Amino acid sequence: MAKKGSSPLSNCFDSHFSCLCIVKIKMSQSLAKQCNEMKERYDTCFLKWYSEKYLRGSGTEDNNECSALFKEYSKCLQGALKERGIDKLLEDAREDNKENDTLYLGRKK
Amino acid sequence: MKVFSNTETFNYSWEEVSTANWRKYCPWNEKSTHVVAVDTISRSVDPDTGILRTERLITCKQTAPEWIKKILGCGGIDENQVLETSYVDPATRTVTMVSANLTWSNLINVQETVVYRPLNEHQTQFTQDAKITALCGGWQRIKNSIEDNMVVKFRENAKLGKEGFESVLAMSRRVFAEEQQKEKMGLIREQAGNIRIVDGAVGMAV
Repeated sequence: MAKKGSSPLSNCFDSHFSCLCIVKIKMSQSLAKQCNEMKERYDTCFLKWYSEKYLRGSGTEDNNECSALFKEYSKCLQGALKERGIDKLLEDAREDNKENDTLYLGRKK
Repeated sequence: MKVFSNTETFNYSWEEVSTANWRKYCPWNEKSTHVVAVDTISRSVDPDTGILRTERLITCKQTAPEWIKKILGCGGIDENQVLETSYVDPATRTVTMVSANLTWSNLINVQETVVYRPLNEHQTQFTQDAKITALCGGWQRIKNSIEDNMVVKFRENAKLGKEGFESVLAMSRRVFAEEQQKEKMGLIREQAGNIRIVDGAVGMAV
């Protein structure tokens, strides 16, 4: 059992608005607080797209109903990543991950 | 280098697991309180294969023991980041996630590969492989201790990870059922409305 108050969810259950809380906080947080709302909007859109379209064989286009939301969220996040110096670390990690791309995307060599 | 491997079975369809996987670190998962943020960095669908490629930045609270922090000389850092690159192949019904640590990557290298595959229509298999390599110079004994410590951590987290994800899956199934119920009710109401309109139209015609 988790200790009382050890997570946002258990805090929520203590409040009078437990149902509202579950709906509101079901997504994880963003690294940058100022991007949280944009992230939430995008995540909700993506999840709907993934379960209702992508898994059913439609919606294979990159440019879908969530792209505008992703652009907005991404723009917010990029600033925060730069500020913390994470953008450089990401570049290096991407370079190291190229082998996996070849392996799992099944790209022709 | 040390290796940690683990296999689990979830009594949920691959579709449910692969969907809930995007919400794995949400507040429904009370066992993953060390994950403080999850951000999607990039996402694309490969036009040739239909494979969905996603990069997520996972931010964790620092949980390394003090003695390791001291050796690595990074006691001041209280957060660390992991880059998770995932590949969803709807054709083979496989999710592959490769994760690597961004923080301290010049000192220790942790590469984790997780795969979700359907066992049958109602069960999904989870396989996890982690390779841990301490890169810092110095005594082999210290490197071994650091690697062993990570393996222990992986073992502890594996149990918590399964429990946490189980609760996310259960919650997702419940919410999905509720949403479907709502949709169904809406449809019935709509149809009831249509009948009235038809009735009206018939009435009008007569």
